[in-house]
Amino acid sequence: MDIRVILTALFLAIGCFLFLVASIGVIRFPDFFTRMHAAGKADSLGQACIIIGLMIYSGFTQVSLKLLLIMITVFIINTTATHYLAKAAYLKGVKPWVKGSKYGETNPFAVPSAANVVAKKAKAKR
Amino acid sequence: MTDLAIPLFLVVCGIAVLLVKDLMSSIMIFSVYSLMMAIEWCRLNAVDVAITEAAVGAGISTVLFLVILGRTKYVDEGKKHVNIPALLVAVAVAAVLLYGTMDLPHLRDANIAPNTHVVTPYYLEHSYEQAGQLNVVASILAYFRGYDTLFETTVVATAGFCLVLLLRVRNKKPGTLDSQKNEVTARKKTPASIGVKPIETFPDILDQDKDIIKRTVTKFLIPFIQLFGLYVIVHGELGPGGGFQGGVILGVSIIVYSLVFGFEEAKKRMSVKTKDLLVSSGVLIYGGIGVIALFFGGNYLQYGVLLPDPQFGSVVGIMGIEIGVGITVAAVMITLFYETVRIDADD
Repeated sequence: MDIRVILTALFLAIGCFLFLVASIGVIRFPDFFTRMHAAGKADSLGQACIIIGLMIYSGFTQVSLKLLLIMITVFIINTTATHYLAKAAYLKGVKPWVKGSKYGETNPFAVPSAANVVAKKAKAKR
Repeated sequence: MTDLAIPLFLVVCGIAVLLVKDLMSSIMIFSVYSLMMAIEWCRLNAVDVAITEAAVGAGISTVLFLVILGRTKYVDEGKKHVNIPALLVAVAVAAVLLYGTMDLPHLRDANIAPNTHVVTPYYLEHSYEQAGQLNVVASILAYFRGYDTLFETTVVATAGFCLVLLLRVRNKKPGTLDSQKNEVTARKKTPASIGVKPIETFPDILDQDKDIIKRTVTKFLIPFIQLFGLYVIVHGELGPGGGFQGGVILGVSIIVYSLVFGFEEAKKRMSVKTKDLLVSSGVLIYGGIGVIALFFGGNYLQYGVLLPDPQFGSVVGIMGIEIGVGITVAAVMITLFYETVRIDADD
């Protein structure tokens, strides 16, 4: 078998594995931040591995140059997006999961709504 | 498999948009819907439409929805009651549309109307020798159906003008909107009221790294976005792309800049006046090339007469009108964004 095909298959397998792990992580992890942590792996390394595999498959051509550009762009944009998603959640006051609390004990989507924040502030003033 | 999976996902997204209470989630699902739609277009070999759908549907319209959402409430608190006449009209329209789909050709049907129509062989045979375009879509749009595209561009420009007329006048008029304006500025001062909890613990650390990542990434990416936009415009001759798609991408680059660096900074790069001029100048370039063709002794929009070699003349003429279309579309996209966020900036 061609060495190129084997390398391609190897990289595609690594990429698919990372995507699978990330998907399991997104479902299984308890809160927003750990889920972002899992999803970030697929966004960065997973897609990079898959595109490297495709680049090896297409050889030294214009197509692989385009794939390289796609890889770099997605690598930068997705990591930035992950960072800002986590930051936005932090700024909005999403509660991170703490060690010891049972799975599902803290509602991961317990975002303080506008009314709640105002009510809390009013309480604090009193 | 994908024949069914993607349309099914689209239907699920469409229902979810209506059912979700949180308007922010609703917008995000709508954005996902557009992305899936882009994939579907790609799968149906309509790459031009896919580019536009991804840029406009998932990009610009999401941003516009978010801008508008920033001024209203996040949660849909309207009372749920069924409006019987509206429901009847909706059901009737849906039934008519569904009835209409029965006439649509099947997927991958070889005997569809575009394949069997009498003009199709003509377009395919004369695309290269007359228009000099390897991409038949581009030659039909710009050469064989040049008038259609001219008026499409005019329609886009007119939409931009209408937007300016509606929103700019409204923004400047005192009275009804001043109260809203004050409300907006008041809300800006208290971020808690829109659900953003201000961080009080590390103010200076946060100020320092507040924007550095997004600013750096945006500065790095915008040249590439614009280069890609220009590439799509120019490459329309050979592959998918053209003035409409490239113009949208160019418009997006300015919108991204405006989102990250603020409206004031963006106005320094692309002022409102320049943008207004660009909206009409694109159409002017398109129409002007037609008039130049008249001077050279041809018909209106007959690009072949522009140069001694008719084929090369067509290539140059089509390139010119693609640039015109691109300028208009980009400027209209920027208009959409500018006129929507304008109320936030005090003018």
